[in-house]
Amino acid sequence: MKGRVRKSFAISLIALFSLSAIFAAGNTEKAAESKTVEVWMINSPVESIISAFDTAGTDFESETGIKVNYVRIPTNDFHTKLVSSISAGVFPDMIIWNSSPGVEFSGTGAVQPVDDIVNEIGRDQFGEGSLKMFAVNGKQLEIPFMVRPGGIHARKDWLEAAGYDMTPKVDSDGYYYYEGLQTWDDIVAAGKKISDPANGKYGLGFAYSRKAFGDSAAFGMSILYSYGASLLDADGKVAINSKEAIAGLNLIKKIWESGAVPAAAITWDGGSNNNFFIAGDIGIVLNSNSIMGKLNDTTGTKPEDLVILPFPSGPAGSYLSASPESITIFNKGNVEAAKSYAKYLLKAETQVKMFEKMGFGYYSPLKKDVMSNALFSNLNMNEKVLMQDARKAINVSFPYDPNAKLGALYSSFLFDDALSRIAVDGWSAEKVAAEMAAKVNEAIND
Amino acid sequence: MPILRRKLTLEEKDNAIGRRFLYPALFVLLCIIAFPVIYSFTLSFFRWRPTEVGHRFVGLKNYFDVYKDDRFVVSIFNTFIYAFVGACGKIVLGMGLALLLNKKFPGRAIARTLLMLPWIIPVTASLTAWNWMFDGMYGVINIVLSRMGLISTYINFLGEKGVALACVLMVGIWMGYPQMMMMLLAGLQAIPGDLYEAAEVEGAGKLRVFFSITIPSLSGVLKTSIILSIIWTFNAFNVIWLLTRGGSSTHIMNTLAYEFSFINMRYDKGAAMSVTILFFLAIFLYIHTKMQREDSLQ
Repeated sequence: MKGRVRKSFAISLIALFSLSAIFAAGNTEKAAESKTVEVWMINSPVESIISAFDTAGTDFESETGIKVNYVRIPTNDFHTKLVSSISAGVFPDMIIWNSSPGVEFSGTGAVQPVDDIVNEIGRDQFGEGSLKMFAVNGKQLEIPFMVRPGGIHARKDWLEAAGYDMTPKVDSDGYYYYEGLQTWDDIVAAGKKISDPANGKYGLGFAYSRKAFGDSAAFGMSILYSYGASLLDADGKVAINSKEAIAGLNLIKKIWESGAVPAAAITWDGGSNNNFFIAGDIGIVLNSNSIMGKLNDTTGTKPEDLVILPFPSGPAGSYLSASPESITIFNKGNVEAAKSYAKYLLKAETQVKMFEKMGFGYYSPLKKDVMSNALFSNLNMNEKVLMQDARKAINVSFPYDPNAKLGALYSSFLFDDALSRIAVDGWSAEKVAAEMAAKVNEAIND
Repeated sequence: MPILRRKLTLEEKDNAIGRRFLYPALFVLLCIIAFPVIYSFTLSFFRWRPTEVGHRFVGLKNYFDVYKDDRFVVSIFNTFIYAFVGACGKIVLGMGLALLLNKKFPGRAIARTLLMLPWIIPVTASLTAWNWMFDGMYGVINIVLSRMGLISTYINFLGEKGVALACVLMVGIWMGYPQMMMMLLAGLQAIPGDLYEAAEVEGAGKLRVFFSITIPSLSGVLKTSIILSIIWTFNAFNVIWLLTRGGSSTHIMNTLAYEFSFINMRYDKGAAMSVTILFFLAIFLYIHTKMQREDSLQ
């Protein structure tokens, strides 16, 4: 018996030593890699963007000796990968993303405050609104980096054929606009006019699907907030069942019932609206500006057919659901090297060099010293509109301080499911608002 | 007085050594199977979210939260439909094709390869293709049905309740039948030819041969195939997640558990859902083990 116990003990010790050896080897490897910054970012569909970031990384390495290792993740997988990775205690050194991970994971204590970097660069270099978007309890958790502008992409030729004057005008505040295409109601009316379902042409290409990875959420939230809705009120109470929210949801229902949106929009994925617009089957879509770079002489929609409409407004203003691309640093890894790379990426000369390589459109500048660069003085009308609309970007906590629980709720199909309820289940705006309110209530009080 | 130890026989010594060789494998199995199960079980009694630090014991709250969610009942209903109808579909189709492949005919090898394709093609590739085929604007199924004059307006296959579930079920059957077909084909090839020759001499018809010889001879394989198919289908995830993401009332228990955990970021509710799934699977596993024991006794 004693012999068996001794043997079992010996086996357990060997197993423990083996495990320790494996972990120790891993740590040695990590220590050896302390001169590397691991940066997670979206796997961009545009080659020139990948190249611009790669060049910035290489230049940084030659200046500092710190290697930049990009981990490029498909958009659809980014959130899941990040959640599971953080839960497993594995943190990237840095994230460059437009979904505000610093705010979302602020409760974990793993996000490195970056006030020192922002102060060093100068707070006046960023819009105060964009800084506020990423501050929790007075701490700056993310640094606004660039903007991935979103906007209403439309078929200029279809609108002209429908009698719209597509000459841009400038209002008293210096904002560009097109006559008769300024409000959401105008957009619905235009969508109906240019629709020709019998010939496979639809005026409006808004996704009403939970498969659309942000497209439905951006569309739904933009309308609701432009109608004056917010998830919470000033006292922190649930407000998404307000009369403003119901008015916004009624417009979303009206758009669905207008017949200008293809019935298939309830099953669209993230690429559907872009693809159908590029193929020449849809007249108006809300999308990030990945469309512009994909149009050419062989696509159904030609580059000259594209017009980017200034983002429409509702009764409460014009708000676009979009977060700037931001830099988040985690305090679990190579913090100093990550900070150093963040500062390098935020330098005006680095960004100008990047824009020279990747062009304007998919990204637009956000820092004032970059925006004032001569590179951006020669923009065409569509690019000017994208630049002006970047100022309309809001996040889900708007108009109040960022709230991690609301950020998580945005990623939980809150808006996507609301749209599905309208389109698939035929629910009334009041019923949808009540369900949204229940979800918000559970999220903030549970 | 010293205790006298009985001298071990050579066989007992061999067994003792053999058992020790099993320890590393057992250790690995404990790590990759028992640990996650115990961990999930523990997690289901705590408030445990990836966006928060620390965990707090909440008793059965997570289970109550899951069971009162509207989607839970729908997911149970869909899971059973998906598992049982799916298993039947796979068995019927697999059996038909196995019977066909058991006959000698020119091009049998090519037919067998082609029929295995749904199993061979990478899941994401085949599901992307199905996604496009089901598309409500340009899907080839709509185009074909329309040109045949069977429909006047295009059907939103993955968007309409009921229709969407039927579609994912069909794709599930399509992806799973080759495995059943191969298992049943192996069973068919093991049936002695003498039985069929004797039946032919006795003048038995094809149906009689099928029900009196083929089915009884395959009963062991069939029982195992049905139970395994139900268990595998019960564990299905990718077909539904990639085609509908649980929309149009197509959530099954697995997709809902995933949504709780990784979309709603409620690991605690996801764990409670997973433990519930485990309960159902344990019942099927018990039936399977019992059937296997009965078969071995026979």
